[in-house]
Amino acid sequence: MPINLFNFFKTKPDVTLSEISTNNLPNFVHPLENERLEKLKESSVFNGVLNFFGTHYANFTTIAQIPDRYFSVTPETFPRLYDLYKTACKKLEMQEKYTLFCTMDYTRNAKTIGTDDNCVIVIDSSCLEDFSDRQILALIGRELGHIKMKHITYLNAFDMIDDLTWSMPLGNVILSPTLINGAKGLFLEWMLVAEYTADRAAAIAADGVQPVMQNHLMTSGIENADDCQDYKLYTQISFSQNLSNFNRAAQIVLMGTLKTFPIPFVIPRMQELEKWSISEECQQNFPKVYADNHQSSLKSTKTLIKGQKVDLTKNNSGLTKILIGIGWDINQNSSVAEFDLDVAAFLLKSNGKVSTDSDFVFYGNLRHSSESVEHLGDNLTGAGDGDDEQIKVDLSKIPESVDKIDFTVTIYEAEERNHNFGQVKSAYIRIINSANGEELLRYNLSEDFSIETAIVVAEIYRYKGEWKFHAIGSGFKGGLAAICKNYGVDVE
Amino acid sequence: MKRKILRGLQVSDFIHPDEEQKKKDALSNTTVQEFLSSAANLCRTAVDPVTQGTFVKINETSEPTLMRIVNEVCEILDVSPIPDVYICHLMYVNISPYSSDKPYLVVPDYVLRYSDEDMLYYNFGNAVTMIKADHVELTTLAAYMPGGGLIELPKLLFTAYLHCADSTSDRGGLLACQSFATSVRNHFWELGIPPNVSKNFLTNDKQAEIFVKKYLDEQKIVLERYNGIATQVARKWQRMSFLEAPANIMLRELYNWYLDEKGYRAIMEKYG
Amino acid sequence: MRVYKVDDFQHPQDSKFANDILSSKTAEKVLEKFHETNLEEAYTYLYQSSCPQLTAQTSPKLFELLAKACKMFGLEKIPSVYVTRDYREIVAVRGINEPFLVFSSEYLRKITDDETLFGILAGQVAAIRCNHHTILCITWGIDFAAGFIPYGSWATDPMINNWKRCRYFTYDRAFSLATKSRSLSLRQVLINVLLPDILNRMQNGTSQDAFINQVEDFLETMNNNKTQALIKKALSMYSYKIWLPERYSEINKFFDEWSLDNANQSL
Repeated sequence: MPINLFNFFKTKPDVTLSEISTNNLPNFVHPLENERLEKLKESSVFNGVLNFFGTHYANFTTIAQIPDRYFSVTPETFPRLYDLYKTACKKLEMQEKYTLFCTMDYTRNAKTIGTDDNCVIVIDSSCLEDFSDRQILALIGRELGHIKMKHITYLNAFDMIDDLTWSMPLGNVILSPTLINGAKGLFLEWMLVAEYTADRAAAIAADGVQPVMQNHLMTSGIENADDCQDYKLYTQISFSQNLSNFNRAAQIVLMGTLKTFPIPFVIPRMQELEKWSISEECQQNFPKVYADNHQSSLKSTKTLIKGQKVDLTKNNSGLTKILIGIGWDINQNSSVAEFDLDVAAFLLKSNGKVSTDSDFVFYGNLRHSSESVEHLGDNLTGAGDGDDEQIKVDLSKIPESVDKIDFTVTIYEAEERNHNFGQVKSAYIRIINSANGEELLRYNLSEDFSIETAIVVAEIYRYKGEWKFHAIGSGFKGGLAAICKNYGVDVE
Repeated sequence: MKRKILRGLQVSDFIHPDEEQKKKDALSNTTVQEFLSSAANLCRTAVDPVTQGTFVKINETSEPTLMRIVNEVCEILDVSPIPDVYICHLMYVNISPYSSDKPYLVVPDYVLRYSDEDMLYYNFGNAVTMIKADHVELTTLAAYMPGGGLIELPKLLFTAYLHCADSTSDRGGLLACQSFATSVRNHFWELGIPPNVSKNFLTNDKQAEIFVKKYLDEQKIVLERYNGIATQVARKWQRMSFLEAPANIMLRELYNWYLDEKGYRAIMEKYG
Repeated sequence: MRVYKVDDFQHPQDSKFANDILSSKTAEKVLEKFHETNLEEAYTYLYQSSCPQLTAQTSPKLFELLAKACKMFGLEKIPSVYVTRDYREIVAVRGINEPFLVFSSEYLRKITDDETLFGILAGQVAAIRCNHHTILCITWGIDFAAGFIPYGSWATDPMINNWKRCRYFTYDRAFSLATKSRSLSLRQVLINVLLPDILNRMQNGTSQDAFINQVEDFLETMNNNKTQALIKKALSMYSYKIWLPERYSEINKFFDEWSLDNANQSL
């Protein structure tokens, strides 16, 4: 590949940080970002590397292989993920012109690869496993923030410096580590601030800081979203120093260790984001983000969104008997008389499967042997405030071996009658305290379903001795048979 | 799911049409063959301490489900003897066969954690086919082959053969699990869609056929967006030189063979 | 509660290397450099700011057991605990003068019972008592410096990797002393490889032990087959792969030597 060595050490890069013009979106760039970038541009080594990267490197390596080896996300191939991407673009006033890919990895992270003019967003498969929709929205928002602010070339050039120094034979000798690491040291100070800006973009995309904080914690080592609910438990630490307090020698030596960490300096990043989210500037310009941070994450909210998990018993001591109510309406174009939806409950072990077929509670098996779950049948005669079907649950009687209970809705004879959830609207699930009739929480399902014939609406699950509720809203095809197979119920 | 036993199944029934020729091209003369054979022996000897010292062998008592699947897959594909199975700690989605006096299989714990049983049938089928089709010695060697310098050009012939061999193994995986949807889910996992997600939209073979066609059409459109000359050159080089064939191309190959009248369906009729 | 001394649990190979390296001029120079460059503070800051910290509030059980382990193994100050996400790593002791622990979340997820967790924490406390954190920093410094010389690490890797491997023998001894359970001590060797339900069926330490044949075959091969032994030696020099059969065998020897199966016996 041709390398123009004479261009290698140009003092000014061809790729520059241009002014970002927005229409209605207020400025969210961190105040230190431009100052740090100016410092960086003074380094001829770094500018040379950047120039080379911008014109040659990206096309030859990273971008070339991605379409062959990664899953291309389009409205046809992965509509749900694409919709989240669309939403994030809308929130950040950006066009949907950056291709989204998925790749198999464990990191619970996303990355934008390429240069500012030619880049793709790559999401790690473990995010799809472990993150809620809102978290994925925040993750995509963060990457879009980087793109919007023209960070991409710089961020990828950092990796290229590593490649050159450590992959080339004697690279770390020829390229003078001190020189390279000196430039990287300047770069690091800018990179941190660029990430602060991108975190703000993530919060704007997700209408709140909670999912951004959860992402950071889960990427950095906290296993479950539940343990990240109160993120402030992890950001209480105060640092008497920061990176710029350490001498250059210490910074240079530490450069090599940075890659050990999933998100370097994640705690200061979270602290910066929190500080911004309660500032006057945020309150004026991004009221949704400001408002979200003032909601206590520990209280159970009345109305939930998809993916949200809340405490059921922790904040409602003495709660044992609950009523699960599920309701829906049929779209006007569909014939109501022919539509038959059935609600069911699956009592599951920790592996997500039933112990026996009798753990499947439905119209053909109305009461579980433990008497902890009872289906109240298809027809209701009044009580229920609009619920189409109800299931009674006695939390105190649920067998120890049952880790969670999933609630599903399926369409009877969907294929034969050509029915699907695209014809259903206003579906919801709610939990009522049977002792006093108080509605504790409600989850309104979105209307993004089309060809699905079965939905896992929500689940209640054990967590550290308490019960929690998880708003799932996940649809799939195959009706009741597919759902039963998923849970290990023998289908004749 | 009840699977048909394909007694008498021959590799020649489903081998990739270019595999034999590519193998001849790669092992074109006796010197090369002898060199590779010695190198393969050396690899095998070097790998054994790693296997015995860092992987854990399982049996019918310690892991009955996995051993049942291996036994069934071998029965379906008419392979004997049943290879030993080891588990290793690795974040990887494929089960690998290793060369030894008796080839054995190594299952990454990551596969066990996230795969469902159907997917294990495919994955084991893929690995067992590599034993049946005599790929193992060379694939073990390929895993340890150095890169760069003068070795790059002859290595290209080798990788061309390996890509065909991969395709043959994918066909074997499909024959073992006998579910196109499951085979596709394994491929999608390699591409970045975890099993928990793909199970929601790939529940049967018909759905999988429709979805894969749609996916491959979309993937072509996406590819055309990144088609500058430099990128095309780089992509061609990477396709030729990487030991593993691109997952999207492998998916397309499997899909075409599944639909082909003389492909999957013909074999199932002949032996099932 | 009996308080163990370093001699009770430090493996002789670990002890020999530790004494050699800590008393060497190289170690003195490296530690001096760390001090000059203010490296410990920067290093600690890097971990504190990049890894979520577990506390008694977020992980009460872990800290309860850690306090117990510190008491049992004579460590006065309870170290801080951080967590990171890394599929390959398990747990490490870091820091130079102020040690702290870094767990991989993947590894923590696999520890499903309190007794095993206690044993693993005991192993890390033992590591601190044996100055593993200081030695790890010194070896890192040597590695870093060797990287500047072409093939420089070829000279230093064998020594460093050998020690990195034998420090596990010390952890395992501490685990054994803490739990006094042969089966648990053997089981934890395989925790990072096998899923919990498979691990439970391995019946480690019993007459039905499913791993013991592999252990015996491996050790016999290394003793009798010169080629395999040479390959293993070469692999041992240039990677710090942990040979599971060696750990397994050392634990069994330790239990047999000190009759630890009878929990009332003391060393």
